[in-house]
Amino acid sequence: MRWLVTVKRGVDLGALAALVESAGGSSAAADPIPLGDDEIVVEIEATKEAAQRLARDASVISVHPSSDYTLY
Amino acid sequence: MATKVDVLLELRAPAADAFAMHEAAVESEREAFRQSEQLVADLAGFGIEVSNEYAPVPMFTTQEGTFSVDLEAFAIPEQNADVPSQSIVIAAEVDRAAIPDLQGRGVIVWPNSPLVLFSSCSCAAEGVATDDEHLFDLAPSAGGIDCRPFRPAVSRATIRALLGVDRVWRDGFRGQNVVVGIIDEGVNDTVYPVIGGFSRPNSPRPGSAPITSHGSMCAADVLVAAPAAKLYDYPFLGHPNSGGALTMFQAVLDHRRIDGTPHLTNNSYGFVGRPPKNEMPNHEVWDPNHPVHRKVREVVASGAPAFFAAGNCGEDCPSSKCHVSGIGPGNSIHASNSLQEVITVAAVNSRHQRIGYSSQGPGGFFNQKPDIAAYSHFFGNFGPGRPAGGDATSFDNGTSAATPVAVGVGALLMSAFPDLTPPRMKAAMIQSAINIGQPGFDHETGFGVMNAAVAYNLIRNGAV
Repeated sequence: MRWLVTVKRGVDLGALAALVESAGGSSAAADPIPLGDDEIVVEIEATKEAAQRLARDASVISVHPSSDYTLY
Repeated sequence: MATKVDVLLELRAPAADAFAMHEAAVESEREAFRQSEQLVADLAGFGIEVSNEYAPVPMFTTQEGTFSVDLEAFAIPEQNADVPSQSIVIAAEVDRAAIPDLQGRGVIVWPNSPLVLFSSCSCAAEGVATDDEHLFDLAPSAGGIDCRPFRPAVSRATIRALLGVDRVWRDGFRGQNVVVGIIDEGVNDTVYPVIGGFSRPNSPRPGSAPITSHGSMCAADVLVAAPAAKLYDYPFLGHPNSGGALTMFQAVLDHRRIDGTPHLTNNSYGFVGRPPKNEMPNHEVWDPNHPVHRKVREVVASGAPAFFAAGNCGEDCPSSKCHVSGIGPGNSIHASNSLQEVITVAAVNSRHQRIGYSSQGPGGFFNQKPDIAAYSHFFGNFGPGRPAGGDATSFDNGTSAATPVAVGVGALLMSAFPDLTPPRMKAAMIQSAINIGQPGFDHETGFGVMNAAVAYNLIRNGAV
């Protein structure tokens, strides 16, 4: 399952990728997306449990599901 | 064997009392036949078979168009008991081979062509008003619902007439200088005016989608109201999902930062069900601070109105894709499609009937949804003679089609009023909407069906 991980801008992306891997997930290839003035969003692939573990890390602001749309 | 053809023979046979003669022929088929036979008596051998169905008709003009009598004076019967004709026309069948010889005898031979009765076509069913009607006359204010089998689709001309785009076009605004961003599965640029969009190495270039793509349908439908608008193509990266949408909205912001384009975005996608809130409280449907919603708000705050489709999960005839958790009032407009900042578009047909699959409010995040309704079920990208082809059963449909129609009206207004802000555009569209169904706002079609002419006049007169 895909997730959107929001962290503070300036966070070391290499360290974040390692954190994601240690939680049992993997980072997606997409570039981080800036959000507001001081946050970025990174897309990852992980199980729900792994996403919950990641959300508990102090460097992570939030973890939201990246869900599939239907074209209307 | 000789081939007989239907013709009108114009014979130089002045009649002193032309009107009286014609009146007698109209009253009696026998007299009509007698007069016709008498007129062609000198033309034996040409195989002329006169018709007794039609009375010979006197003509008062020459072929050069000059009048043989004073027709204005003739309109006063007491001064003109009757007048002589210049020539007389009769209906007949003749041998095709004899026509040159007839012409050589001074007879003018005209084709007697079959005509089509306009009233016998299916125009009424297709939403075409007669001379005595306006299209609005066919669209009763009581509203109603259009469900399967749906009413026949209509032409773009009908949609344009209903939107009143002529009023805006007449002042020279057709969407020029406005760029619409289409966030979808891609647009075909061989047919539609794609001038940019999202591109990156190893991804399809903007404009490379097939003509049958959903995004190409959206492109066609933007151009209904704003044929001079240009397009940016923001294709989801493969499968449409939150991450793709986030990337595309960021691309919109990147472009706007460079030159202020695109001016508006079209978003004809969303969810067809709602996950259990206790299991996924941070899903887009439930969490108003999901990154995608925040990014959508950023785009609107940058000055670009975002139009979202209400969805196709209305309770009357929901799409087969809809999950039971996402059908009907209060369940079917959610996620970014229900944000207060966006313009949420329901679908109606050309008779101002809500199309039964059009999703119903209240919205997940903002109660008063949808905002407005726009037209769907017309031949835009799909249908006979349209770019993606198909027969009369193929037409642009869904709230997916209604949304770019609304975007096209937005583009038209921005073409006329470049400084129009998203809140002012929304206010103009709401205030100008033609209310259907319940008076005032309702959760079926919002404030009513949008109208470009009225919205334009409201802004022009400073009423918004």
